[in-house]
Amino acid sequence: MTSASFVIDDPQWSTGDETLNRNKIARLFADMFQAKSVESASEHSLFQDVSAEAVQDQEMGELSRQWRSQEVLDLLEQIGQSHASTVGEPIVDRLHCLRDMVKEEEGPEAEISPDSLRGLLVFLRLAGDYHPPQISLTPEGDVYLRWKAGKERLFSVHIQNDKLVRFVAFCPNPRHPDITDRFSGTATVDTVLYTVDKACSVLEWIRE
Amino acid sequence: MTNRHLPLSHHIARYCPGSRLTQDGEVSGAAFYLRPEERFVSVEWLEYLQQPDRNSEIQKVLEIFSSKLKLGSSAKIAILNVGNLCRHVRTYSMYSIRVLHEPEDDDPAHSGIHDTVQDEMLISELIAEKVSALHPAH
Repeated sequence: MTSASFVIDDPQWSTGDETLNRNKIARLFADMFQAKSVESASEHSLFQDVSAEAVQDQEMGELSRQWRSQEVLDLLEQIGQSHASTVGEPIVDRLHCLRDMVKEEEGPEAEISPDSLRGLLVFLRLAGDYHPPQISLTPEGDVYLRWKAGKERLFSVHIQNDKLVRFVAFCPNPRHPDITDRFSGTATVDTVLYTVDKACSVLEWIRE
Repeated sequence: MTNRHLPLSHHIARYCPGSRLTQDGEVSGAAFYLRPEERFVSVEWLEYLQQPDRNSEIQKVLEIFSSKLKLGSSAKIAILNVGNLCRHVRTYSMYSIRVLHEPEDDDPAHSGIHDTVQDEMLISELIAEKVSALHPAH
């Protein structure tokens, strides 16, 4: 029997053939526990006999949260390692800070979206050298990046998951610099920089 | 019965948790995103509170927010003028938004910014541009 091992040239989107790493295993377990928990909850609604199963549900919910939490920490570590310390460290520090804030604001179960962090990892790997962005979170825990220069230049990226982003870009009109052009739309996490750069040359000032 | 539009010369306050602010302390567009179950962006109508000055209005708003929410240590209160906000969004997007009175039993000054979902990210960033003042929530 032979075992095939693939080298993935373009690893940002899953092909299903990648070797399982710690992060992926955590995600699979989290998904499995969550599915079990939902399945079990729906059985309870049919048969009102809840006591022992309710405890099991709580345990599964807790395990699922722990796996998610571990997944987020692993992703933060990967984000830190994906860039030179001058860029990666401030981003990871900020994400840890946001994680603390969201737990303070919404309770210990609140978490940054792992799907959004996976998208961030892809985005950062492709973005190259740039000023570290301002980072905040949406109400659903998605990562929201923001670069601003003066009053007339803004580039914001809302990373919805590991594939899709929403963006907004403000820039001076090339013929009428006193007027600000404003763009918004959706794109994929690996193309948004180039899509927006075509419309308003963001790369020249976020990479300065 | 339709809800009353707030006068364009009046002001609203939005509670912004620390996680919706940037590390520089500015309001990010994310501060004006809707939660999945929300119909409008919740705000407080300052002039409705009938306080003698802006500081008293902020104190009153903080009392209201702290009775409804757990105020985060880095949270801020953003102040916006209704007319500036609506004009700015209308001028720089193809959308009109409305600021309507949405009174609640325990919060009669409660109001809402409606119709942001039409292009939520663009409208939220345009709203963030019109924040006229930020006050610590603590």
